[in-house]
Amino acid sequence: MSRLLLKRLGASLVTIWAVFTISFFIIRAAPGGPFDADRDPPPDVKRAIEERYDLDAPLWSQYLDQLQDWMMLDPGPSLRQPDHDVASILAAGLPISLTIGGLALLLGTTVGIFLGLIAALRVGGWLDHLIVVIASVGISLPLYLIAGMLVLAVSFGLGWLPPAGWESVPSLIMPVLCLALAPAAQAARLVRSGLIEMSSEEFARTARAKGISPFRVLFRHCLRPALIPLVATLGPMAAALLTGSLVIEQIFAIPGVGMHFIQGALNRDYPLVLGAVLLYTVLLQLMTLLADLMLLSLDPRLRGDAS
Amino acid sequence: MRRFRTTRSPIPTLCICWLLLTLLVALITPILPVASPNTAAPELAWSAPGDGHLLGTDALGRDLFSRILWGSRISLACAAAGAFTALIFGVSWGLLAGGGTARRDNWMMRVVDLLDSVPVVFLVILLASVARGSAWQHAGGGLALFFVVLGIVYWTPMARVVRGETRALARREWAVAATALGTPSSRILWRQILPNLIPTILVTVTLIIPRVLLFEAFLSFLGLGVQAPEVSWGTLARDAFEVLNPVHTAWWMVAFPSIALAVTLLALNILGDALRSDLDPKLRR
Repeated sequence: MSRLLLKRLGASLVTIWAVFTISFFIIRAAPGGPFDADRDPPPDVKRAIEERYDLDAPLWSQYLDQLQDWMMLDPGPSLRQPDHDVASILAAGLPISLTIGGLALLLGTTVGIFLGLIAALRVGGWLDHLIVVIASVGISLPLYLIAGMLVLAVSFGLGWLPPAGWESVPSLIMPVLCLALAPAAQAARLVRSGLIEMSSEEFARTARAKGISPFRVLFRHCLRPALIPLVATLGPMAAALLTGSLVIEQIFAIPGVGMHFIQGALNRDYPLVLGAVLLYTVLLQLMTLLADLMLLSLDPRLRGDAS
Repeated sequence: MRRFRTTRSPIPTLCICWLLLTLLVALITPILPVASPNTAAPELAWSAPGDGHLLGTDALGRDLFSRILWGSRISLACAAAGAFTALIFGVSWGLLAGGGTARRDNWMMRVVDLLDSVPVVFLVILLASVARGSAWQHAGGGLALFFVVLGIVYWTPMARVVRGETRALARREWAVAATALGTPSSRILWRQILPNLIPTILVTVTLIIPRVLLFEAFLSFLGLGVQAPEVSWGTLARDAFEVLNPVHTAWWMVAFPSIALAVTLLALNILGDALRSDLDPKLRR
């Protein structure tokens, strides 16, 4: 068990290092430096800037320097906001993004499991069909369509909730709802098909033969194994949430990591973008690790393999 | 295919009709009698859908209907190019991994595993940001780079599927017999196994296209994909959100481009699912 964990952690570190290396070279491979975008600065100013940011050092020494800085969590100032360093910008955004993402994941999976359970209980019924249709529509719609319609209807039409911002609890409702839709739809589909598969297993038939009610059979006997596919996709689901948060933070003007990331990408603030990419990678690795641990606790068969 | 037409539900047929219509309209847009997508008419700004402008106009008075048609060209081209890149990369990689020695299979699939654990989307955004404003973009290379990038994101699922099927097929009697008869393994792979993979590949591509389409819209929406004056369904949504406020509720600017995208996505997803369950005997019941 602990050996497995160590191996996984090692793989995560390799992934994070690979992402850092790829990002570093993508940035350096760009024709033109980050300061060329506006106007050509006078040569001596340009040289001063390059010295300031060590851009004139050999590539490998820049790489090693930066690697060390990032490992110390001290990546230095942002290019476009020189008064702030990258670490503090990201640290300010992180709690906000984590709140929205965490709430959305929690809400989405809970509602999804519940809907999947209902659909599986009435397979072939109208409720089942309705849930399946809503789930497949929910998966294939672009996030900004849903967010846009909600803003138009709820904020501008009815005036119930603020259309954007990050001041109060009400301003949190719509972003979380939008972001939770995709996980909910996916969870509902997975749980439904998992439950249907499990209820045709022999243990479920035996339980029904003993006179246990269909709901109890599904809830107490089938739900646990049916959750395995859902937990197994928790990693990709978290990745989708992170990408979704970029759109949501943009639409609702939420000052989270995603907003800084997109701002940085739009005005080529490379240290900031690199920091956000690394942060997202770490988050994703943590989520995948967590999902694997949950999988181990759900499925005893995997534990047998691991030891 | 005959079986496909006799399935009870008319919905997949409707999806095919919609997709063919969209494709046809996108192809012939330049010769259609619609307004030019980039002619600004400030006096007509913010016209609601109706007289003269079927779907209304945007903040500069440009005709939304025409912009959606022109946008469909870029959006569909992105989807096709991205899916094509994913197809070529994924099928070759999967075939080479699945048809090779266990060692080659192992390292090739390790690469796929590594790529799948990397948040490629964020790397793509980084790449887009680097390409922005560089000499590349101005030379028109931006869009070409964008096409390739779209494909790079989505080739791993294709590689996985193809590799799995190849592994299974290579163990069949006819493949073993061909080996015993002295057929070179590359010939078995490309001439005998590949044709057997076509249904699987078809289904996977049908399911990859909507994801590429969505990804293009996502990037363009964030301002990192297709750049003005080019129009795509994603940039149209971006335009709409930039001017979204309670004073000018130009709902049509949000609604129509998104609906065009949503219906197309839905049609592709339904079609992909229908194809999959039709070609998979386990799911056909």
